[in-house]
Amino acid sequence: MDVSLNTIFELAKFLKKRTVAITGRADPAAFKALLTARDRGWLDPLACGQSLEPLRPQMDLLLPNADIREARDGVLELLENGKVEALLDTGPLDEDLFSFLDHLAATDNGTRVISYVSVFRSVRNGRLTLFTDTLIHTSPSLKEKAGIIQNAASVAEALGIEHPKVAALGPIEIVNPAIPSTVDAAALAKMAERGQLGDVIVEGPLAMDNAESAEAAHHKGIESPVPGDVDIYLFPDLESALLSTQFVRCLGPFEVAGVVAGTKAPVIIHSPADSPESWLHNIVLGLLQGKRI
Amino acid sequence: MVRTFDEIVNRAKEIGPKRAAILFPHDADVLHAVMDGMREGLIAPVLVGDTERIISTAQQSGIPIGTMEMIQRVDPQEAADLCLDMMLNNEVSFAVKGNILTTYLYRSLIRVTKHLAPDQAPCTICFHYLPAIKKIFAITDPGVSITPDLASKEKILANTIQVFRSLGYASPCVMVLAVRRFREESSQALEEARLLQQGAAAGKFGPCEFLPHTDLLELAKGGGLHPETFPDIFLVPHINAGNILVKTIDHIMAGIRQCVTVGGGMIVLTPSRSDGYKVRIKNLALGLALASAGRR
Repeated sequence: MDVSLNTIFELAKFLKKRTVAITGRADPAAFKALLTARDRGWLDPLACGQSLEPLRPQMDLLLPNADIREARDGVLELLENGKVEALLDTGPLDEDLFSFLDHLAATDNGTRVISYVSVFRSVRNGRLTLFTDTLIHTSPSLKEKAGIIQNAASVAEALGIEHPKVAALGPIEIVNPAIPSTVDAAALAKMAERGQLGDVIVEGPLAMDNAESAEAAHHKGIESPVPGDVDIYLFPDLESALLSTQFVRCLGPFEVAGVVAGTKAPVIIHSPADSPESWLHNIVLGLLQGKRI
Repeated sequence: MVRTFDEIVNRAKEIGPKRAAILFPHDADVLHAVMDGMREGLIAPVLVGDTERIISTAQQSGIPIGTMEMIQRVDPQEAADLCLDMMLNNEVSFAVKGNILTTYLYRSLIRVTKHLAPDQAPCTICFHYLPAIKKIFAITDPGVSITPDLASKEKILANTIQVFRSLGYASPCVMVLAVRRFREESSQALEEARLLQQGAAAGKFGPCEFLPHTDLLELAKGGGLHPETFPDIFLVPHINAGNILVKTIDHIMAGIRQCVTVGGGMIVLTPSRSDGYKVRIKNLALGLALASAGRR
């Protein structure tokens, strides 16, 4: 089974070319992907800040004396004024970047939750599979998990996944009040059933084995369309999400890309859990998130 | 030192059969594995459960269990307690979970461990094999402790290191997993990882090697993703992370997993109720290899 993420490039034909502001540090891998994306007609880049001086021969450079933080502030203004439509930040992934992201939180679904979605292709069925939240929330509350699901569902929609199925993961598949993740997962499943989370089907709590196998779930008395057909895995906390994503990325045959979700404009970054060569995938994933503009 | 599950099976076959209590063998997969485990010379089974149901399942599946010893227990907690008591009295060498919630076995094991070795904490150890690494490694504790504190983590590690020694690892390599959260300078898991590393350096766990890394990306940067340098034991911060991780390796990454829960010298094989028969037979070999290594 081919588990490369090249299928994401096939979706690039649906992209509308956007003006993208670039901020952050000088990162040769990011620069290479950025120039490739420009050459393929996916974006018009606009570098911002002193740190991106190396890009000046290739593109316009705004705010040439600004440090990274000042450049990010400047980019927020450009976005507000409609002069840029999307952002690409090369890091570092520090508190300043997260504050920058907080300023970009969308408010249209009332959640104001920004999250990160890691994307890879399943060995079992070759389909694009989403892990979330793999970067931002350490111990998300029930309300935040609801927002994280809605964010991931919009990423899934942009990837052409209709009516995504969500496994709200826990260590066991029964609700145990001593394990809060199982209580939250059950609540999320009920919220989805009542239509509170949009066009998604959520099952939970599910342990990873019965999320992955309809037979295993049936063996445990779980009758649901989600097991064995999961599009989105919602992890209960960041440690669970990151450890599993790191093992998948480092020890499996997988490429892992990622995208910020829940922002009012597409934001492209690169998480340490993403494959080193995934910048170009991340650019497409980011630019596909255009529906909120 | 064994490095693959096949080596564990071979070692188990050399050892020869030991009596094993099979708890609630109420479906055909479990009975098939028990039957084949007996034929392969791995176990002399004692079936504990609803004997009427066991016989009916065996008949429906054409599994000849006529010569097997059976003990009637319908209540799951009573059955689990009996299995542990049989182990305590040296009537069986290890116990195997069949179609029963693991919680019942954990309760029994915690009770017996408190009695036998109050300074120990029972823990689940999941052994994995992945083609990328080409050796077995273990993740602990994805089963018993929900949110272990530092003292519990020390006990879990001591237990797991001892299990590895019984498999021939003179100085197991350990990594304490605690991912760096991007919005925080540190975390409780990171702080505890540092304290565990310090304890190991002071000889708290006996001969073993503790890696300074706390996540796989750090290990990869240091060139550690090779069989020679890859850790033997990973300690996870809590049950959410551990349980989801072991099943991610198993189901998303198509690895091989074998789980055992230990405490006070007791050995309880805890395959998932969703495990099929091939997984269960390798699990029997692991139980036999551990039981014969003088754990008690």
